[in-house]
Amino acid sequence: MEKTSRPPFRSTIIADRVVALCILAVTAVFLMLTFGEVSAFARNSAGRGPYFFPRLVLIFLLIAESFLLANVFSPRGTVQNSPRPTWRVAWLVLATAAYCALIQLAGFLIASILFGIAVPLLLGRRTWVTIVAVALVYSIAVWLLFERVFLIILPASPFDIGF
Amino acid sequence: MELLITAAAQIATPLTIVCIICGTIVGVVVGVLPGLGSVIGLTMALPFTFSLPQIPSIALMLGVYCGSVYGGSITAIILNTPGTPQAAATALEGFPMARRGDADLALGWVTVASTLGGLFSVAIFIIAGPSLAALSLQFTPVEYFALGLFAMTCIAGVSSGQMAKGLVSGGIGLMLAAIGVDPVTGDMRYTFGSFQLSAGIALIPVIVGIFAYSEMFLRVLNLDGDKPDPAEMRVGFRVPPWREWRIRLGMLLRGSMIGSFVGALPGTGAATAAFIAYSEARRTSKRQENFGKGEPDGLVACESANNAVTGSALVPTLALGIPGDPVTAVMLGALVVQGIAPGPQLFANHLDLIYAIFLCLILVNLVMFATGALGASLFTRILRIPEPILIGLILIISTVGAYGVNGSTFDIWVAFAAGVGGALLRYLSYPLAPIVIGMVLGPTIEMSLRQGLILTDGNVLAFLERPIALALFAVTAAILLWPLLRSRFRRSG
Repeated sequence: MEKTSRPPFRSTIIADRVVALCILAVTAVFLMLTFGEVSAFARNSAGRGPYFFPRLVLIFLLIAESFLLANVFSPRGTVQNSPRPTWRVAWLVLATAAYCALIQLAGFLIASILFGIAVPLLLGRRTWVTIVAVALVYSIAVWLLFERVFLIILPASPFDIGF
Repeated sequence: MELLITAAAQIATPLTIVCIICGTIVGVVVGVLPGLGSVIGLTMALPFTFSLPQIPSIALMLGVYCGSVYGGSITAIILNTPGTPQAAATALEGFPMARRGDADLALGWVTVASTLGGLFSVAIFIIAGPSLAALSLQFTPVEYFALGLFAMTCIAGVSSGQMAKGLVSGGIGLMLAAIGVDPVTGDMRYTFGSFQLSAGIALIPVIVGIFAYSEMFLRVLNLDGDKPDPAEMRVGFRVPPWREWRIRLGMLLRGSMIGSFVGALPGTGAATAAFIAYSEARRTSKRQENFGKGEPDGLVACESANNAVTGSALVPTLALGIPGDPVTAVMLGALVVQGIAPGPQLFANHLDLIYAIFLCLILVNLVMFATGALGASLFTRILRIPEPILIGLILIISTVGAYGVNGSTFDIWVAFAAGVGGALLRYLSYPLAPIVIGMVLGPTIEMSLRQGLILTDGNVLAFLERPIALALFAVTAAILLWPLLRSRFRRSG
């Protein structure tokens, strides 16, 4: 990601602080969970129980996060200059989520062809013939390579059409 | 000498040469495709070895192994999508170099460094194979724990400028590796009743997510910004000039030695070696300020290290019959099918076979160089595809890579979640490599710590009674404390 020479946006600084606090909250919750019920075997094991190592890591995380919070709430902050987020990022993330869901519903090949067409359109490309041709050829090639050559069976469509 | 000539005669058959070439090319292709990796490549090659004579089947396996380790670096450089976990360190320097239009140079650096690292490990195998095997037997869980802690110091190396965030990322990686079944007691940890989480979070989907997915999500931000004209992005293969190599020979040697040493230890792998070498390069380089912007020192170190693992990983496999990782486990299976019984007697009674393996490794590394040089033009042309189209194509192949590990759609969602989380963290200047480092090293560190505690009856201080472990602890402490002490001396001086 390219950095810009502008100072960071205020929203980015706020996001940095919110994320740091969220990580701290999750760490605290996970640390509390390490004091839950464990089996008698685990309690008596010289190698300690299942939460021995996670507890060490979480305590280390809490210490690291205390330094992090001191930095993110300082006037200088920690975030570097980044471009302003755009709606295109959100659309791409949503399209990718839809693609992941569609793979299970319609099979890999159909989902990939549709995704391969949708993404360039979402990002502003309008050369329809190229986009459709590339999406078709590429998705079929990947499907053939993995299904027929590597024998990794990809999710199939529910329509019983062979792919 | 006679045995060497006999071995050379066994190698110099058309079938063996064809197996070396085909195995290496298949290995490179498998390594390039995210989510496949060396194990799948070797598993695919395994059935062919049943119908081949001994030497050609070994040649095929070695070609796939070495080729796949190298191949992962190509996508790491061109797409910031490591094809294999061990190429994650390569992406840190290779991708920035490609973004500024020097993809051909980056491929030149990694191809030469990989070849030389691989040849170095062959030399180590020849000279010190049995000695390294004996040394690896000295490593108990205590030593593995000390080595794991030492390897974690590379988080400091990749996080300079954002140390607190790097440490948090490393902690997140360690915690991700802890999800699932506890390896010692069998209890469930952080699965929240989920069947899929009981198998843990696989490494490859996380790598695909935080490198490939997050890169594509964030690339959209610069879609209309300043970047090199695709027509001007150099394609092909360019070997760096000798004057650039001369100042990095020490880096190459150090990376190769790290890879050869780490590879000889069962249970470690090329990913660990690559990150240790990268961290050392960052610490000792005279061009530290260029790291993260496409500094060749980093490429040379991690690539020589990860390919130096290939030869030395055979040391415990052949000398002791102990496979060091799933890759050598598959190879061990193939060797047993061929009637080869690994163990101490192999070096004593079948030296001609050992020499044949050495020669195969040398040829495989040379073919790997040729494959990289000839295929580079094709690989680098990918950079000229318009980005709106390329983003979709990369997300598709990455999704297949995430799925292909376990054949589970759950892994696709893991990759997606890692991608969204990774994009957010990258946007907020969190280093992401420590997450991978934590996930790679976490299981080793935890397992060795707990096994060590069992061996010492819960006495942590007994860890310091073992000389190798004590030396590693001391070096780790020195690496962590030295920057603090140095800044204190400078202030008071």
